[in-house]
Amino acid sequence: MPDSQTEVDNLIEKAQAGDIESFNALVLQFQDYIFTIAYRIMGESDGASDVTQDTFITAFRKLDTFRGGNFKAWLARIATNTCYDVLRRNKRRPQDYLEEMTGAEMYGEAPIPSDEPNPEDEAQRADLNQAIQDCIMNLNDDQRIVLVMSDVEGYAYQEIADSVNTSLGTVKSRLSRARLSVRRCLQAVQELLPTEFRLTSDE
Amino acid sequence: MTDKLNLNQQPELSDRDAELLSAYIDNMLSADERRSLEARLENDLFLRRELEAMRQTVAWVNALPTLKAPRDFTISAEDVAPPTRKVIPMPRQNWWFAASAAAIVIVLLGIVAILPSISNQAPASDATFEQVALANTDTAESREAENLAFDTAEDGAESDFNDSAPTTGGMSADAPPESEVSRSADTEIQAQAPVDTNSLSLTATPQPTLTDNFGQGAGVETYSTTTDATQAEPQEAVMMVVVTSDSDMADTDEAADVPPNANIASASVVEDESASDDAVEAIEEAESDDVQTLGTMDTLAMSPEDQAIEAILSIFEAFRRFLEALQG
Repeated sequence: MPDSQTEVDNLIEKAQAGDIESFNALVLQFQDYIFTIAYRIMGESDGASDVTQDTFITAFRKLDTFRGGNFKAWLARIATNTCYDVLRRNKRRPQDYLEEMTGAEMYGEAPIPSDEPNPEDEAQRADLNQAIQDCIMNLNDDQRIVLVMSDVEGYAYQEIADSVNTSLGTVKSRLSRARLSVRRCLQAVQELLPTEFRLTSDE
Repeated sequence: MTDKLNLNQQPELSDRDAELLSAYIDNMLSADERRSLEARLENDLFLRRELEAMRQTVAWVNALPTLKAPRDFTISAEDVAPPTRKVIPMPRQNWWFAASAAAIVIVLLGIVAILPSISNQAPASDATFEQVALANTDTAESREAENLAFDTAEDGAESDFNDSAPTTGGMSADAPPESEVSRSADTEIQAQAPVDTNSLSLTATPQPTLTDNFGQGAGVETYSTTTDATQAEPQEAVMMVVVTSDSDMADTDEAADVPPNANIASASVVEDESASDDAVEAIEEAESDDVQTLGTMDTLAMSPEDQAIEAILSIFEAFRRFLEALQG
């Protein structure tokens, strides 16, 4: 697995020449990250897996359009756009059945974090993470994608606007509404969370 | 009680303030906006708490862990091979549409082939429709006859009929005595038509005002049309075109005049009981019991080209209803 930017650049160069093995080394490097983005947006493992696979296939086919820079961010943008396309195509929002199920029942068995968790600490943290993911899935598609791009992937407003073909003002508006919705959603379930994970507003 | 009341009266963060706080967190406010918001935050405890809650929310979302992919997503040469053309089998239902479309095209071609011969035959008859159309010179009555009423009712038995129409529905025609026999017979045919009848009636009488009622049983649209028959000849010219289904034929006295094929409209033209040989044939397709088409005297007084257009439009309408019935 590549562990330096130079090695990543070399792999990209070979992959651009058609070397699938080099590209697969990049896949193994970034698949957790891409799967996570897909899972945050799609809300369930099977859909996220499909998006992840499609992302890497698309990336390989479009490698000649990669002009250098942040390869991870380039992949993330492909993944986000793939999610967007799938959501639009399906016209089926995960929250349609959100109300009928909760937690792991809703999304199947939740994927585990990529780093080894401390069982006790992470048990509490897992509850919060699941609550956050549930609240994210309550957002509409547009708000969810903007929230994930901003607060999970760390994109700047303008990058998000360019990526989803909308204005900066719309990104601002969607993001603020998404954050407010998640905040209210978490407030509604915070009595289920450990004390240290409760929002300060009600204290 | 007081606490509960206070909780209920707790202000809600407005969308505008939420947007300001969100952009403030991301350092996306202008200098003026930032100063203004910070001044408000100093004096507004609720706003400060909302800011803190939003910050915390963002931090938690940002701290969501990277998940482990459930499997490897490495690709193979097959995955990235250029897409090949796939032969997508046509769904069974599409064959129906294709077959229907083909049938319509055939019928249209038939109409195009038949109409020229009709227009060629027309001048040979004293009772052709063109002549009928040109014969009437009574302008006063013509104006009166220009009123066109087209009433539609959901229930055929309770349809709106013209004042001159019989209360039993069906066809009415204010015709002179010499055409009374034919007209009455025609009217009877329509009035007795069963509920699922698909019938098309076209009547031209010497009267300047002619009322055609195209009636069907309850639950079926009933059309009542007073046609512009100003060109009707003072002699006798009663034409009737009947499109009916097999079931209709058994119920009507005129069934024998109608070819047994229920899907093809037939036309019988009665001209003073002796001029029926000068009939103009109109062809309509009645694909199902839901299909009905109304023709008027106007159609018959038109030029062959216009008749062709009318016929084609009628076919399209019938086809549209057929598709709706299939999809429904």
